Amino acid sequence: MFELFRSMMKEEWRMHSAFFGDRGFALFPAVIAAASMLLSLSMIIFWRIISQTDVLLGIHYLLLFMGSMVGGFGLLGREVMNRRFGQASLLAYSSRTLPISERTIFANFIVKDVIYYFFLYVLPFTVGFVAGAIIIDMHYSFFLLLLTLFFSFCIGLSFVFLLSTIYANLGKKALFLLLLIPVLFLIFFQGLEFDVFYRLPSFVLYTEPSLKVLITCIVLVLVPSIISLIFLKVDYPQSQKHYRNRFSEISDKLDFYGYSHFMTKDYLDFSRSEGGAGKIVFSFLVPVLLVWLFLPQLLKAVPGLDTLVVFTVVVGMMASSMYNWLVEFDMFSSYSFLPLTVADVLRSKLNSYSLLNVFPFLVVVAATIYAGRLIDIVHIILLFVAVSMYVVSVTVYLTGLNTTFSLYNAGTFASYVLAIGPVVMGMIFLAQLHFHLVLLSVLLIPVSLFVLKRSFVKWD
Amino acid sequence: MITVKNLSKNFGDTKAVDAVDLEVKKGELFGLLGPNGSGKTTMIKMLTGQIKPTEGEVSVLGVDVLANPLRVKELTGIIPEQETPPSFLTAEEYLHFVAKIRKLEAFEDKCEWWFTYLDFAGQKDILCKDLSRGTRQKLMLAQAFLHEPELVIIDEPLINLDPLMQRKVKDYLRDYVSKGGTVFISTHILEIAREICSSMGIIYKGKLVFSGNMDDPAIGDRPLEDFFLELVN
Repeated sequence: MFELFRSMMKEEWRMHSAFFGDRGFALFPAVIAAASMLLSLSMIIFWRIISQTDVLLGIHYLLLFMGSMVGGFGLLGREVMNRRFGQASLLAYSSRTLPISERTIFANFIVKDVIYYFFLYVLPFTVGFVAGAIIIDMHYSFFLLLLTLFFSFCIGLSFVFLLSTIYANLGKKALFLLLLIPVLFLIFFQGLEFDVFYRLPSFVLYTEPSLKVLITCIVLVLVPSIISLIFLKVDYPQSQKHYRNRFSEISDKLDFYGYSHFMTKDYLDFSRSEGGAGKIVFSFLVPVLLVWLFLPQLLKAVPGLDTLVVFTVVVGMMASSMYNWLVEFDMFSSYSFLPLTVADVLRSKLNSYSLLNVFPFLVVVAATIYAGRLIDIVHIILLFVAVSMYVVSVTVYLTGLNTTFSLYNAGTFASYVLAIGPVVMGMIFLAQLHFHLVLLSVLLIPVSLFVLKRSFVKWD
Repeated sequence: MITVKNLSKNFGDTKAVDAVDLEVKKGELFGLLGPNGSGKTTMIKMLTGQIKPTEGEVSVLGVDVLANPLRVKELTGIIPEQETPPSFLTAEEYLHFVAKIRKLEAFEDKCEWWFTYLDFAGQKDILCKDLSRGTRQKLMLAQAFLHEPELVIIDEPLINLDPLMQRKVKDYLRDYVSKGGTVFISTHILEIAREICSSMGIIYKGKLVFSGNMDDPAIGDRPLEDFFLELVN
């Protein structure tokens, strides 16, 4: 039993270090600590508009989200693993070949995830956050915060394990209904008010510690995990769907674009993968909407900044996340036996990226019109195009076709932040000096083209 | 068709391929045999420009692979060891995708022929990620021959295929060679080489320890297995 646990720990470490490089990954907790410290330090700017309680609430939900991400990837990430490593065979999937029950493997898997990610995420996050708070003379109880953030992480992890068990036993529709019922119940009988978010037990344990809340947290971690173990089913329902051939039809329509066949493939990958078009809504449009709603509030802390300029810069940066979606499904090994270079594949991705940029472009145009600043539309569009191009060119240069995983490498991430941070901050402050200075963002376009040219050489 | 001179590839301190000289002529069905980990896949990757050799020269169809790997990939059909068609295209869409990359015209009928010949027309509208390994291998075979190349290089051609399909593929390869094509395969299954190859090389710990025709006097009347074991022991 312990041997299996130890092997799983080793496997997890080796898997990550294979993705990100030994040293790069070893520094990852330091990156987490630095990021949470910055978050904590930023309170000195934002304390007038965001209360300390809301920041605490936010970080508890952040850890809850991290826990659910870890759980989701561990259980459902086999496809990703197979794309990256060929036919991956993690110990977690090996009950068919080893004389160990699935239940024992899964129990080890949960304990391994809890311990491994405590040291990788929770501990460094708490250390960084509390250290930052001390510098700005805010005080948190380190051990209590560590405990409550750990509970947040574990509740997220445990909840996703439960959801995966429901999914494995009852299917997707049952899972959807089970998630929908409590939401509908809240809406109809209690009203879905923002206050409900303050009832997260791990957060309550920090603000109003009591034995009752502690027990609630423990129950929320243990019960879903135990239910998952009791009703464990490793074989997830898989349907062999049939699809009409849409390749030639779409490819012909896009023929005027270079690499139309690759763009068609990107579109089909995107629309047929988990989440489909919902990815645009949840990972782009919803965050953009939140930025639009909260930005004016946040900027009250830094008077004088042009909200529309900051919004455009943020949307330009967020647009580059669409490049991640595009490269998520591809490894060059899928093409290495065809007459293609890495640069060809990168160029094709950039073609698709430029087409996808229609969405953020429309968002920026709509925001300009909504803000009653149609007169500034040329400046705003130029700024958006320049920022989007620049950020994606840096992303391509640093990460090539392996964006999601490369950015977990501490060195790559630091280079990314250093290459982008000062430039976008510079644009924002230039606009503050004089709005017409936004036009200087045009200089980012030749810089981006040069960076892209270098990227093609580098990755070939 | 293939000329290899003093070809070596090192991975750190490990010599995966060690000073190999080899020649494969037009119309041959050449089998590169060797135990697991002997350097077969590394050889194929160097022949097809997928990795650069540490030392030596490779020429395929008169093209210097080091100088122009893209041209080699244009001219040859290649099936890598691990079949990796993109996940979210159907089998049919994948063949159309490859046809577009290879700038083929009127390829639909050719694709249909392959679906019928390899008996997987019923799976052509299923996503590649949901196909069985055997069907993926069929798909990779089809993509390699789609542009009717002069030379096809295949790493483990019959892997994951059932006996019926193995027979079909062997027949196709023989027929292809009889019509003037050239095939380079790597395998560790000696029966395959004995059955279909006209010439072979045996690679062991990165060194080419034998190269010649299947009726080479060195082999004599012995079973190929005995000859192979004698060389690698």
